[in-house]
Amino acid sequence: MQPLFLDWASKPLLVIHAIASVILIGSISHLAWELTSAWRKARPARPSSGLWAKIAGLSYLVSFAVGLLLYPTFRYRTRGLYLDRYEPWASNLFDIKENLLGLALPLAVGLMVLAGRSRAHARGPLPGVVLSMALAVWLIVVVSVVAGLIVTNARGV
Amino acid sequence: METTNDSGLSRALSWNLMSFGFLVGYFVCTVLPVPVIWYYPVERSFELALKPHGLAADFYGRLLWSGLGAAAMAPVGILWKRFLSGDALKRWMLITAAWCAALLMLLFGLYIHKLVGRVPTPAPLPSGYVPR
Repeated sequence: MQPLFLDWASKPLLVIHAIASVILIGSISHLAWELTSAWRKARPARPSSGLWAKIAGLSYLVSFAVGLLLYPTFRYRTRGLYLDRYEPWASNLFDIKENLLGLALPLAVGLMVLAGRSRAHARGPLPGVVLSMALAVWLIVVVSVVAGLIVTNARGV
Repeated sequence: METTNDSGLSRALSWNLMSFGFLVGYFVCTVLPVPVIWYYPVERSFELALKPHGLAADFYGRLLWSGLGAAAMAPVGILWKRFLSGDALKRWMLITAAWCAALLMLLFGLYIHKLVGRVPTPAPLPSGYVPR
């Protein structure tokens, strides 16, 4: 059997994946908090919200891309040989998390594109949509990080 | 003349339409029997097929379908926003955002329903396998 794609780099890639996730959870929490606070007080969001949105979007993309690179090793060595046999619930939890994050990709990248533009007004359709996107991404990221920790606790790459 | 507010709204409308295309691509390859690209990690090869012939991953193929959906909707957004301004632009931006939210919720529910009780098939253990 030939070696799996990037199998030799799976441990360092997992560390990069985790670091990007920590940056993501911090930046998306800042953004969601700032946009919620601005909406409640009927004021425009602070200029820093554009920066938080860019950091959140970029860290989402980095974490997602590194996850895609890790996936062949995970699919065979972690899931195929171990989780599917001994911890099938963890396989299912991982796939739910993977699909949640795949589906939320346009929201996370959209925040980078739209958050800066929504600061011109205190309230209105655009700040409302951007706030909803930020809260949705925050919720999905929190659920996914917790699910990722649980799966890694059952068996990591 | 396009105002700053209109420019933000028209950008959001384009983004909503691209997101909708992305989600439709994801939905189509989830519920319809369409061929997707499967990646075989052990053989290190790709195949376009309805069903895999061994241990394989379809996540890359599903993302590709979704990317094609987003790319197909991009010119629609660019053209459509040229004909809208003021209240009409605001209304369509909200309508398209609602479409995306509804489809996203449907897909979340669909995947949780599909995966929560799944019984996965393990890969055969190679001879002399020692878990690391």
